[in-house]
This record gives sequence, C-alpha cells and structure tokens, in this order.
Amino acid sequence: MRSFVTIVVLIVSIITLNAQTSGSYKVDPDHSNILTKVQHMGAGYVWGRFDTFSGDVNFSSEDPSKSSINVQISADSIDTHQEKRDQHLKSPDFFNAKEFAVITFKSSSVKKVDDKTYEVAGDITLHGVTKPITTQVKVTGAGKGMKGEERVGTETTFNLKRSDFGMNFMPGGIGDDVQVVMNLEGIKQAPGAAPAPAPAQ
Amino acid sequence: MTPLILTQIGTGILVPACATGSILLAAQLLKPGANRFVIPLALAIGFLAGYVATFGAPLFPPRESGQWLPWITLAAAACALLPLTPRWRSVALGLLVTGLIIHRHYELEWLSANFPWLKNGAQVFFILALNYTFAASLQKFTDGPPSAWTPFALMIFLCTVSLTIALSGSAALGQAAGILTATLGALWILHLWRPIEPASATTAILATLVPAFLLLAYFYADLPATCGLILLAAPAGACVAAHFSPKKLKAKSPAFARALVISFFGLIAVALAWYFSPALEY
Repeated sequence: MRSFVTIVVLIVSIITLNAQTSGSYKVDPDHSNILTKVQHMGAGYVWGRFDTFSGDVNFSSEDPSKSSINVQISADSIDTHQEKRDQHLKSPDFFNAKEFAVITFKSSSVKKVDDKTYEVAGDITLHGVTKPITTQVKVTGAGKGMKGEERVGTETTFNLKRSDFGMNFMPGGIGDDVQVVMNLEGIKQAPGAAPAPAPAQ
Repeated sequence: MTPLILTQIGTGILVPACATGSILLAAQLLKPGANRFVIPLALAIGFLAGYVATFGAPLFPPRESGQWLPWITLAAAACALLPLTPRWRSVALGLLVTGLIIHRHYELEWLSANFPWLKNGAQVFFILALNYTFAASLQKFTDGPPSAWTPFALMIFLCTVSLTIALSGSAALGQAAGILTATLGALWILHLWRPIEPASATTAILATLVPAFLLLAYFYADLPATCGLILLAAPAGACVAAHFSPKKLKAKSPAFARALVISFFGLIAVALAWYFSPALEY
C-alpha cells in the first residue's frame, strides 16, 4: 500500500513538474554560466567564461519537438582572469570580437530522451561560421525565485573544434578541442512576453 | 627552441625570404635591367608564399577583414606593373585598402537611422589622406641616391611595424607584417652583394600593405592611434631629416640620416605600444 502511494505521488510530481516547466523562459544571466575549457601547450587546461549573454527557451513538455532554444553570447565578454590573454582572445587571432561580436546558438529540433534529458540539435554561429551541433540538455531542476517567479535550470556540455570555425592560430600551442559547459537558468515569462534582446556590442 | 617557434620562424621568415631572394637573384643574373618590375613582384610573391605557409591558402571571398591581405598584395603588384604614376597608384590602392579593410567596421551601422555620416565620413577621409601622405612620403624616401641604407631602413621600419602590432594584441597580424619584413631582409642582403635599384620600386607593395596592417590593427585589434600615426608619419619625418646637413646630424650620408630617423620613429611606436599593452606574458 505504501509503495502504491509512493508511486502515485511520484507520478503526480512528474506530471506537475512537466506542466509547470512548460512555457516561455528568458535566460537569467545572473544565475547562469557559459564556460569554456581548452588545453594549453598539451599540458593543463585553461577555463574561461562569457560574462555577457542572453537567451530564450520555449519549452513544451507535451510536445518537446515544438520547443526551441536561442542563445546569444557577446564574444567581447570572454574572461579567463588574465587581462593580456583576454585581449589576445578578443583579437583577430581568435574570436575577432570586433568583427564577429555575437556568438549564437539557435535550435532546430528538440527530442525527449528521458524525463530530464532532451537531445537538442541546432546551429552555432561563431567567428562568422555556422555549424550544426547536437547536444544533450539536462533539466537540473525547477523552483520558485525570491519574487515567486518560476525558474528552471538546465545544463549541457559539448565539444567544438575551433579550427572548424576558422580559429586556427597557434595549432599545437592551444588545443583544437574546446569544451563548452552551459548552465542556464530561465525565468518563466508571461504569455506574449518579448524575446530577450541580443547582448550589447 | 620549441617546435612551435621553429615552425613560425620557418614559415614566417625563411619561406618569404627565400622566395623573394630567389626571384631577385635570378633577375640579377638573367636580366639586371628589369628591377623596376621584378622588385615589386619579388616582394609580393615572397609575402604571398610566407602568408600561405603561415596561415594557409587564402579564402575568396574572405570571411574576415585580415583575409584581404593576399588579395590586396596581388592588386598592389598588378598596379606596380601598370603604367601608372605613383600619385594615381597611391590613390587607387589607398581607396582599395581603406574600403576593403574598414567596410566591416561600418557594415552594421550603415542601415541605422542615426548613422553619423559626418563623423564617419570625416574619419574615412582622414584615413585616405593619411594613406596618400604615407605613400607619397615613402616614395620620396626611396627616391634618394642609391644606398644600401635604404633597404636596410625599410627592413628595420617594417620590423618596428610588426613589433608594434604584435604588442597591440594581435600576434597573427604582427606575424603577417613580419613576413613582409623578411622579404625586405632578402632584398637588403642581396643589395649588399649587388645593388638592387631603384628602391622606389618597393613603394607599391609597402605603401599598400603597411597601411593595411595598421588599419587592421587599429580597427580590429587594440593598436593605439598614436602608434599608428607615428608609424605613418615616419617616412615623412625621415624626408624632413634629409634636409638637414649630414654634419649637423653627424651622419655618414643623407641615406644614413633617413635610416636613423625612420628607425627612431619606429622605436618610439614600439615603446608606446609596450607601454599601453597589458603585461606581456601569460
């Protein structure tokens, strides 16, 4: 009897959670992180983060294929806690942030893998080059904020080759494989709310 | 020395120097009188060889402004072979360089309602005037009496351009300028063996690529405007110095005085770039 009640409560929780998480969300940059990791000289790894970004997630738990994710990242906001390195990363040698100010990800399809995991395919545009990527996005949780607003957290990790995007400077010195970790927390918007603006250039 | 550094030296110095040197050497042995056409061709081919060895085959159309450099070089070499006066060549190449390099800077703004036409128009006009002045003064600088000091001075000047740009945030652009420096190094070394004149034949390539490097570094890297202006004023400053008596400057010859002054301007630019740059190592 106790097991039966537990199962019913669990099912109701999942249904309630899914019903609650459906909707339009604006990425809260104050509670989100976009991190990068790349190898230096074949030795250790250097982490960096993007400090300025925005995005929208439209999520439908009933039909995930109707969901979409759009993220815009300011290339000029790269921060590796070393001023000279940051200046170099923003230069034409790497991101060329003055010419290609915004890095974007725009989803083309969303498929449910399990209750908390979705396979998201889309296009990433970086350094003037657009490439398709597919990544698994995990819903880390949902809750209410200090003002009663509904929040949902997601996390995804994927790898890129910087040479695929024309960022070829210092091969061997700086690794070609770049790991990207995106922890995005979204605030549920009222129906009809305007999409997030692109980050200031 | 790490393999990475050795590769950079190979592609960025040896390849362009050997390419330029081979062409000049062959021309000196086979047809010494054709220098007016051979010099710009040798510099252009040397630069292109070094560029391809360092950065790979150039894209067309280029995806970013720096990728116009090889195509600008080809245009400069073509103009050097055409029967154009230096003045018209400077105007044509100045328009080409300015248009190609900085149009991306204004691209997103053209369509906005409050595009500052007057301010940006004045900026473009100022850049074109600077390009023309640099080309004219470089022509005058290289038009002096034949001397080994002239190609040497040009090589040192390009070296300071390369260092200034590298210190301003873009090692790749500095490397590209270094490739051109290597071609001038080959010219100077061969000049020591057998004078390769006229030095003014280098103007078509140098007066096109040096402003291109500086515009790229100013608009897309972090080259301080002061450093760029000092480098563009260097040949004019050297020409002014030529009017002083060599005895007053305790110089061996006017060519030596010009070489000293242009190098001095370059060193000032390097020092300022170092001063404005964040800490070097990371």
